[in-house]
Amino acid sequence: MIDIRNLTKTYGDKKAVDDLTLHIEKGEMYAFIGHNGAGKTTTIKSICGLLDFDGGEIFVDGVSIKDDPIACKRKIAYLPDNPDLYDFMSGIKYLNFIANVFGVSREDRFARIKKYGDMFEITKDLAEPISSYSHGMKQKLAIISALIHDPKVLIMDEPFVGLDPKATFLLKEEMKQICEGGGAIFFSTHVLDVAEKICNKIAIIKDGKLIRSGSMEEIKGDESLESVFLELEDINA
Amino acid sequence: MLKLLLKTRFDMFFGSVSQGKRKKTASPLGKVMLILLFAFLAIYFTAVMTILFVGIGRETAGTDAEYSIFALAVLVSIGITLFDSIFTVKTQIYESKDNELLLSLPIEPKYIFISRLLFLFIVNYLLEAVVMLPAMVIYGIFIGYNVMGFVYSVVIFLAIPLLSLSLSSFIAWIVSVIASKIKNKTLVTTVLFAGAFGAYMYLISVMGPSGDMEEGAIDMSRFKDMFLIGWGAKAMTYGDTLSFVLFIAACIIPAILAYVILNKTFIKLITVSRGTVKTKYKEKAEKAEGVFIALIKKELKRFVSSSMYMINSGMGIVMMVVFTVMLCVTGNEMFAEIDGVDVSFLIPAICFALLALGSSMILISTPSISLEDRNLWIVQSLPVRGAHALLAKVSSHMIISTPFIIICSLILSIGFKISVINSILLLVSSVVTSAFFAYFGMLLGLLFPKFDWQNENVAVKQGFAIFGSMFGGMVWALLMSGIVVILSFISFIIGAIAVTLLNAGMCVAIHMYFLKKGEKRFALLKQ
Repeated sequence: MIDIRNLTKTYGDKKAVDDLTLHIEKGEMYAFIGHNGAGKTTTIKSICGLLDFDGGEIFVDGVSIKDDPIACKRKIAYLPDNPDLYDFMSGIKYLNFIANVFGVSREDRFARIKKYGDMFEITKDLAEPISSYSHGMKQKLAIISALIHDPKVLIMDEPFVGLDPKATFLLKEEMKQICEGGGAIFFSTHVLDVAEKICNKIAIIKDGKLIRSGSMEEIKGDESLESVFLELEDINA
Repeated sequence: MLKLLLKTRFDMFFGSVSQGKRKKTASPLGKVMLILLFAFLAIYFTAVMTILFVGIGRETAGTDAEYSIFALAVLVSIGITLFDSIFTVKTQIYESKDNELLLSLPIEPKYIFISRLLFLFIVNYLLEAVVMLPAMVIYGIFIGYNVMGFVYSVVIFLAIPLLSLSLSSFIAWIVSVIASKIKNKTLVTTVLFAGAFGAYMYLISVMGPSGDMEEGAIDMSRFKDMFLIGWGAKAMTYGDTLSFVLFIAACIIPAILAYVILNKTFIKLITVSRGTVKTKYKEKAEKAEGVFIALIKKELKRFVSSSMYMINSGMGIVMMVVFTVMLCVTGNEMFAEIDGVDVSFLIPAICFALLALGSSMILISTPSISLEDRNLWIVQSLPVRGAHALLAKVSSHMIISTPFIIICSLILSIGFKISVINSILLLVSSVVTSAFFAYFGMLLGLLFPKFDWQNENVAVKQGFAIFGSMFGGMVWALLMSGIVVILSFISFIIGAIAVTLLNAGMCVAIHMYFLKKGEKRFALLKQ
């Protein structure tokens, strides 16, 4: 579903991402972990067509993000690390805006808004302006907007930040269902326990370089993901 | 601490030359360009005021109307500083994005408040200097000071921004207090500010000097004994101590009151939880719409959600309507005959000039990208062509402005009994010219966006895009008007067709740019 080949992105003299290659297949839930400033957000933004990159290629479902970004974006749902949404809209207006952009039918959008709104307990607040929402509510709204067009590929940057425990649980369950339904999820996180429990694949990035990737079993064996991650960080220091 | 906070305000202000590159501060070239632009504007307006005061000085020297220079200077100084601060106080003090950050730091709130007031003071002094300094110099050359008159002039120069700022602060305070208690604060803020602006315009038109300004024969006699302006003029001209004391008291007492009240309520107002009535969500299936319609609706919602955006960017609409009505009321006499020559054939051209100049002051598309700032990722991450995002902004500008242009055009056509063909051409040429301004503003907004603002007033009022769009637009409007006026000596039809084609051509050129390079640039914004 996502094919990243030799991705390189530099900011001035600094290589934020250095020759990164990664393949995410259908049904895979891929955790992307690394220290702050390792290059996770840069990689994620490059996949979503939000950043122009200097080298390499990214294909989403076989389509190059450089050649046809619109076609790629139609298949992707992106959840940023900070839910800066349109404060001047109400929650429902924002969801309808996103649904209109993705061409979601009247019936489907109604059903999905109902389903996810109730699931994340935000339905009663949908008529309120987003400016009045808490950080967690904005995050929930951003998640619903990502799910409203039934995406094949979900790219998320720290999706659990700001969510309450129940919403975190529900999001994890939803993520599992997407992968079971043939979708693919690639997300960054610092919560290693969550990554360990729900992901079947993992990629570890350090200073822009991919230092390890593969199935959860291959990477961690009998150890905890936390100890493996810290070990790898030390080895590559 | 105060110095540091004040420096931060100025850094934000000069940040207007930062053009959205990742973490990039203003480039040296950008700073130089900005300084040159300000210098040009300062020199231009100083020169205009100097010419005006020289005319008055020549006419009034040795007469009992020597106070006229200072009467006009005080009137204009209060007018421009009030005009500037009335729109900036609320956003600079109460709606700055860094309010919460600063309040979380170990800084006494009064320093935050004072630093913002000081910043506005300094800006007001710069504006006032453009008027008062030429007045003081010209008065000294043509009429001459007595000692007390000179001393009072300097003190009054320093005091005027106190008055303007305290009046503006009171208005902003009242608006903020009302807005903090009700749900639809945008509507209330817009109405209150529009009301304050209308009152200001009314006072200026009622109180404005009369006479032939070019010959310096401005009749300021009615101001001699007027509250405030008369006091200032007499204190500076004759060294009249009573007038001086009254003037200074009129400046200082409101300033002290404003400081005490605003300082006490500052934290309460900026930390108030807005919205008391919850809007209930009614579950219903919403109609599906196309992408472009969704983008346009988003832009329109953005426009009507911000009182500052509406007031500042839509000011041209208000002025266009006001001047249309004024021209209809007074124009027939004015155009009937000038120096014995029938100039009625120029009426459609003059009407076009009015509509073109009014349109050039509508700046809705220009700040629309800057205003997206932190939200820019949304459209950039969606399956939406950048060109469509840009064209939606242009379209929303047109949707808002075109009805007013049509109405004004019809009023002018009926008011001046313009022939049907000329009326149609006036309408078409004005709408197409307005379309050019929408495209032109969008182009500058794309090339020179201003991100990282702390209050949206900065995005709406500052930066190269805004200045370029405003002054470039006015120059273009004058150029178009000149073409129509000149060609009207042959036929208005030729002039109207010429500017319509010219503007349509420019629209097509910018449209093509948006479709090709523009959308790539849009996709790379904020990288």
